[in-house]
Amino acid sequence: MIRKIAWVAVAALCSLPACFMSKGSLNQPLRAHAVEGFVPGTTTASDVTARLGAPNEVIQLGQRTAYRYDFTNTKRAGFTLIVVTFLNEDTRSDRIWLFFDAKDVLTHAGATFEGDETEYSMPWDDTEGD
Amino acid sequence: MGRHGRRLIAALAVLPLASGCVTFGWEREVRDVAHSASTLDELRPGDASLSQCLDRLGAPLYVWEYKRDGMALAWGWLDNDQKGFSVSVPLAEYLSASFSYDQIDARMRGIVLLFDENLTLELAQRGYLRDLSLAYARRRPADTSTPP
Repeated sequence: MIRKIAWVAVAALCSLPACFMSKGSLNQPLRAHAVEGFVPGTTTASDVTARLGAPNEVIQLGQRTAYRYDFTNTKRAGFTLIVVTFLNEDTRSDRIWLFFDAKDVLTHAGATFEGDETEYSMPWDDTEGD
Repeated sequence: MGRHGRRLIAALAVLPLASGCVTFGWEREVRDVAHSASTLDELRPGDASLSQCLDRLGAPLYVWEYKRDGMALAWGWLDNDQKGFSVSVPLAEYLSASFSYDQIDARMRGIVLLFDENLTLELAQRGYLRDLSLAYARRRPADTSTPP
């Protein structure tokens, strides 16, 4: 009797997979409309900080400066079955770089909005999504 | 309880402990999207402007000073796919990994575009981003000429 119970327990244990999903993010999501009003040659660094707040990084480039705003989103999914483990981590970002001249007037802007394209997936899935 | 029964119970007790010891793992880590070679080929040194590069590639990951009034911009991406047996499940280590702007992941590939003082593309370099960054990612030292 004990032997039968033990075998049933072994079979049940082997058939019980464990999976998990987790999500992590850094900063607040950025939206495209946040930069639509920024006009090179007109918008100043003060205008930018009034709308977006303090940048995450300021870089000095000779006479110029560059401000970085970013939001990073990560989704992880895992699956384990006794001795087999699958893990996948997908990280995408919203990122804005704003370049200012010596008078703190905006000259160039570069923006990427991919933070909401992260996926919970397995390692074999195609998550490039380009 | 017979001898076989005791052995089975012992095996049951050991099984959960053993499950984390020798495992086959398939781990994949994806960070940002790689730009196609054709997109990068369209950006010609001596011709492409900073605006054109930003329009095509979006926001860079890193920006560094280059030749005082120029700049070096870096785009990077990662698609790390690992399969193999391990003696333990490095779950905590795996989960503790996270993206940082302060430290470039050695596995990250990318492109660095160098712009001259007129913000015209001077040179494009491809490869592992950490290696490419060594020449540019130095922080400018603080000005210590004025006593506090």
